[in-house]
Amino acid sequence: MQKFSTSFKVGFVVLLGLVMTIVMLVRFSVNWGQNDGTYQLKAYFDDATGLAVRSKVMVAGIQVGEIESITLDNAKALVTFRVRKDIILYEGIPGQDFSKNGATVSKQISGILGDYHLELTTGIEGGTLQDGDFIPNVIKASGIDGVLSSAGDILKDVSQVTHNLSAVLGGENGEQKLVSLLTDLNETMKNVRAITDDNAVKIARIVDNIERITQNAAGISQLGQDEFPLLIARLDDILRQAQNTMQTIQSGVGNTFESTQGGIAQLRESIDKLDRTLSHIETIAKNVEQGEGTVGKLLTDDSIANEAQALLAETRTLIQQGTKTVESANDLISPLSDLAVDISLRGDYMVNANAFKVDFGVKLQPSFDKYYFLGLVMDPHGTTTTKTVLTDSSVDGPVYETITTNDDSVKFSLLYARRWRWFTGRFGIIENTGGLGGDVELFDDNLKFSFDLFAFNDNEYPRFRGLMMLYASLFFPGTWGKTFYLTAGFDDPGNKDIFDYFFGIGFRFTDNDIKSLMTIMPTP
Amino acid sequence: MLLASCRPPYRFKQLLISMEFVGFGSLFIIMLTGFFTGAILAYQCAYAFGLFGAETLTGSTVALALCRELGPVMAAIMVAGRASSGMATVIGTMRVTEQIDAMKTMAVDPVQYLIVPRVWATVLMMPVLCAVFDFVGIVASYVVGIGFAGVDFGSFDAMIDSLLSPFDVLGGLIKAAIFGLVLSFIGCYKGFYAAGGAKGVGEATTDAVVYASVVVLIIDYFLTMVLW
Repeated sequence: MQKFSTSFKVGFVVLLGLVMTIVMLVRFSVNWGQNDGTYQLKAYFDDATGLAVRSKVMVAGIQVGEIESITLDNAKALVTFRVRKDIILYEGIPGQDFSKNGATVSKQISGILGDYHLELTTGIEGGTLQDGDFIPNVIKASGIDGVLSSAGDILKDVSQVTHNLSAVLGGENGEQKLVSLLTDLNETMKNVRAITDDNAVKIARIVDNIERITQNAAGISQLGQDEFPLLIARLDDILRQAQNTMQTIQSGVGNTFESTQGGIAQLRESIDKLDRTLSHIETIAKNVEQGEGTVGKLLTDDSIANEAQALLAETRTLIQQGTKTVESANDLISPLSDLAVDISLRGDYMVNANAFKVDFGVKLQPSFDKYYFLGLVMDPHGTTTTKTVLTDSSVDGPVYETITTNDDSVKFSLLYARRWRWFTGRFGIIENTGGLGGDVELFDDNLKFSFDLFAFNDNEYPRFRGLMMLYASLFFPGTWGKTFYLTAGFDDPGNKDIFDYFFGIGFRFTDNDIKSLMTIMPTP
Repeated sequence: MLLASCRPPYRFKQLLISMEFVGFGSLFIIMLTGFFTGAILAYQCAYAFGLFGAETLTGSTVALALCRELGPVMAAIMVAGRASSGMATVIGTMRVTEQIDAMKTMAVDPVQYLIVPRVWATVLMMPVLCAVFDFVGIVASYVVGIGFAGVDFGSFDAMIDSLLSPFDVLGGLIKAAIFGLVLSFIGCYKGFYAAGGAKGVGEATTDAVVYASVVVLIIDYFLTMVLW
């Protein structure tokens, strides 16, 4: 702080203090000095206990003003308060004690500590109250005051009852009545004691019995309380099992009976067939033994065996020749068999256009370092075509009009790409126009940045598109990780009218994936 | 001293230096004590009012106490401890080393040169420091009352509106200015009349702080009676 001058330091402190003072003054002025927008009203109260200058005046629980002064006027409390001008109060229709439908004011307790406020109701009839007017109806205290008032009434009733009791039981008559009452009570007690003495043993026995019964009952109820739910649950299980068993037995018995009948019939049929077959075999064996029939000749004639040997030798020669032919065919086909096919489908949400762009592509990759790409794109921005047509050929001369049309037809891409390590360069037809692009692939090709530059003549600037593709395999390595990817990017920032940014999701299949799918597909 | 204040030459440079010493030098300690005074007051009020279910009064009570009493008094005691003692020490040292006599010899009025700027600087800076104390203390009461004691923000805030008026703040600032006059005067007086070498300077410093603190509390009572 040494580098600051004395003036700066003093100025800083003073400024800080001033700002804080102003903030506090403004903050505490919310309910202060609003007399300009208020008008004064008065009311007489029998009791202004708890009210104070600046206590709140409220309508429906909302503060609309505050008390200005409380003074004593003819043994009554004259409370003067101010209310906002937009609060209109009605004087009502004057009656004997009360102004009908006029404004009312009452003292209400605000909290348990005994602070009060004035609660107003506006009224609905009569002229409006003006500055300095009295509120026509003053409601007597409610809340704790009301409760205390009610308690006062109750105490009065209690006092009346004690007074009556005093009248009944007081004086000499009352004393005699009381003595007579006590005498009667004494005699009654004596009788009760005599009865109990006579029957003391029986009563003791009865009490013992009752005690035993209640103990037993308590034991049973305790046992039942613990065991009853378990018993119910077990019984329920048993019943269910029994039901299931019965059903199983019923169905089992029926099925077994039917299948047993069928089995016996089939067995009988099989035995018959077996008999017939055995007889046929016996006949064939006899024929073979005698050299009859083809098999018999084969087994008995030596010339046939010699011919078969010569045939086998010829067949071996032919197979060797065939193998050579297949090997040369393989050499011819191998480049095609190394061809990798990659099919991709991607959907991007174009934020400004509020539409989806669908991109379908087939990548034919004969080797790791090059590929051919064939794509179809359905782009919400469409293709913009501008042409000049002759619309009028009047005396003044021909009038030409330039018509710009935009259609969202499917666009076509055909690209040749070549890869050097992590960079791939592309050129060819991009969305119906000539273009070029490049890819940067990082993290084992799991993160890819693509850039395309095309449509050099459609707009003021060529269309430039940047795209980031994030493969799921970056986070979930596995067989299908390379199948799904997320995309995000921007499209044509140079041309503000069609500039857009997008995000989306895509998936791709390679020929290996398709082979994998084929293995798990059900065969008809 | 009043005469010396009115008479030229007016030493604004000395006034500015004294304002820096009193105001900027005490700012940090004022903010620190203000924050913790407001915080602890809010905490205890929230507890005590909570017994009656009236926690919402916490904010207004703390704000009222800070603006009317604690702000001016605590700020004055802090400044007495820091600035008043400093004034007594500086002027006392000058007295015992006969620098004040040398000033007289050179026809420089020592009251005008040493005391007037310090007194006026304290009178001017005390309301500023008091405002800072009040503000920081109220902020602390918000933090503790709402953040820790769990008082409802709306009720807490509304009660401040209903209980405080701008005059509570202004009255506190007036008090602070008067306290500033008293405590700086005591500090300068004790230093100016210090005697007995280093021991005398030490005694003057202690006396300045004690007298200033006690007199501030006594005057506070009467000022409160007059202002509210």
